[in-house]
Amino acid sequence: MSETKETQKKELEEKAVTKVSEMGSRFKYEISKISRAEKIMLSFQCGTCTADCPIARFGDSSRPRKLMYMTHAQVDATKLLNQLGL
Amino acid sequence: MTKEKLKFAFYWAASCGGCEIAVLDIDEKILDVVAIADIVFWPVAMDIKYKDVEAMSDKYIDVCFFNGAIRTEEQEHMAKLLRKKSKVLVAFGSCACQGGVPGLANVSNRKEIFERAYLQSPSTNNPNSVTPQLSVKVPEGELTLPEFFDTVKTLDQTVDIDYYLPGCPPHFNLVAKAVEAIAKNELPPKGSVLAPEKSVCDECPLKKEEKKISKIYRVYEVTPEPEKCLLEQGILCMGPATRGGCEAQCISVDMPCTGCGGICPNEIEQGAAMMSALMSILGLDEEKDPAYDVEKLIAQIKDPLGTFYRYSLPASILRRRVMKK
Repeated sequence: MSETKETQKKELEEKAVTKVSEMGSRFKYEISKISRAEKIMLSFQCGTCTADCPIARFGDSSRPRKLMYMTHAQVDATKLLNQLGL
Repeated sequence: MTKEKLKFAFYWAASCGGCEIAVLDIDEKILDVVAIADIVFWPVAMDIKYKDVEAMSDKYIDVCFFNGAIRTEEQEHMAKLLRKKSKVLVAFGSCACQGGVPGLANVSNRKEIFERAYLQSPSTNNPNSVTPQLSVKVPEGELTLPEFFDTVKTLDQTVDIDYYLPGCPPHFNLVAKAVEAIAKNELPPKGSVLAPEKSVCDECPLKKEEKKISKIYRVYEVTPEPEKCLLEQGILCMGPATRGGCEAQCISVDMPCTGCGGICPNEIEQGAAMMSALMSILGLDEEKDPAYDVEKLIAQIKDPLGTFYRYSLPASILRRRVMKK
């Protein structure tokens, strides 16, 4: 009984971790299905996120506006991960 | 001895500045531009004053790319001045061709715009109710501002123009082709639109099947099926009423066409053409229903003016809200 639970848990974890790289270019729709991530669809790249982001100040790799732009321009998910250095 | 270089000018009026960036979007082809032409006037990039342009002899500039609509006295003056100084004047971008987004101000007037921008907007703190004045006397002398018009005009409503290059901003292929045509002296007849004679739908890679919809969605509300016409999925796409040349870039990333390419060839009105296209597919099933309510169907369209006339209000038959004297 506990074994099945564990495999289920493992499967769930794997799903959460590996999915993004396999999502291809239309990953924004996948992400929007995750609870609290549905607002990804509302972004129109005003740039407030980057202006307010404490990390964006120190480097070019993780500017939220750029990431949102790449998401909406439907670049491949692997490219987005590369941008983040992942 | 090398051939004498052409003289280019770029100017911006009521626009966002995106068109200036579109010029650079042609990437390495900008080197070809520099090879064939000298840029003699470009306020966004070069420090050349208006008085320098006034000092030029008439028809001194070979090609002037003018972006932006005309909404102030200064812009009108520059449009007339550049018309006088240029052999070829190109309306560059949606604003110059058809009024563009600034043209939506034609539903309002100067008084209302100033009240909103300088007095009522939530982020404004203006206790003395200061609004722009044409001239103000200060101890150092008199300060002046150009007049702000009630009506936004397109460039061709202001001066005589030679070519239209539509798009918001114009697609880099169109810009590159236009520059090539200028370099080879193969420009089409005056008054031509420097874009293909087809609609966005003709260039769109998505498949169209049976045209029938009963519900209209906004972009964030649905996950569009890949490779299926967005309009047939209920997302308002201006493709059928919009001139192509953009290779349907927006649609290929699931964003509907907003109509920046302007009026299709042989159409008079972009908004009317789109309304007619939409009404021919909207609610065909519901029509048979006894409880058919056309108002309900139409009420699904949020912001009809901003949807159908986003870039073309000043150039349309509507042109502007009637002004009460």
